[in-house]
Amino acid sequence: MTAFRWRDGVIEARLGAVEKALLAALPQLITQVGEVGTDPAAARLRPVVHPHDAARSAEYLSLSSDLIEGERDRDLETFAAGLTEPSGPWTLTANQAMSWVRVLTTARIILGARIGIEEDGWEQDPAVDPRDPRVAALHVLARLQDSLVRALRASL
Amino acid sequence: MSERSGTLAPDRTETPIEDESRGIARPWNVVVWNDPINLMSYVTFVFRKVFGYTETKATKLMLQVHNEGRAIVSSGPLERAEIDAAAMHHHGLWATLEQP
Repeated sequence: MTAFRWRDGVIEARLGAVEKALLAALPQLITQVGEVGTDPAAARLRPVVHPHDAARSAEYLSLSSDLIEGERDRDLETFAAGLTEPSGPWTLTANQAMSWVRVLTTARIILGARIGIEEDGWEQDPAVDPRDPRVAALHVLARLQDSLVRALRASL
Repeated sequence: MSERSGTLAPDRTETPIEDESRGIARPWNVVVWNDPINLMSYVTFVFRKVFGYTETKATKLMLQVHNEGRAIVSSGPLERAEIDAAAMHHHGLWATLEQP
């Protein structure tokens, strides 16, 4: 089933109960990221932009971190507001869908970091347990994200 | 980059390198690195959306990231490059800056 599709200037979302339940869990997943050093997801979400210049990196962080975190908060608000709509099909504007796709990305990054995925080909890595609910969630979110990207491409 | 079929502004990657001794700063490159989580379709889409690149150029850059581990996606003055890097980070891509 195509989860998202571009139609008449908006993106329609047709999601099953499992997918909706997973999406409903994402705001908590994202807002409860810990600190760098205690949560592997934290460092991945705050890349060091000048890896060979600590002073310049610190300056960049001081200028950009509030801005990026603010944008992420707004994305999450948009996403959470969409989840409270009555049962589907949901419709999203292109801008709302951009917030959604970034939220899906952030959630996948958090899950991947916590699982310990560091290399391509992890889907075939026996060390990555497919019965791990986080791995299952990663796959479902990938399918949803790919569908949403296809719909967004039609909006460009 | 996780495999899945897919998925500004003027092209800023062609900015010539100038000599600082002549008072013109060398441009900074925005480098996007491969990661095992982001989908190939998503990375291509982000390059189109953020930089306004064509599907062909965005796909070429995405494949360079995937196959070579990194690609320069834009170049310019430090302030501009940091804005581009922040846009990459906002979209969940791993980006760093370097000055050749």
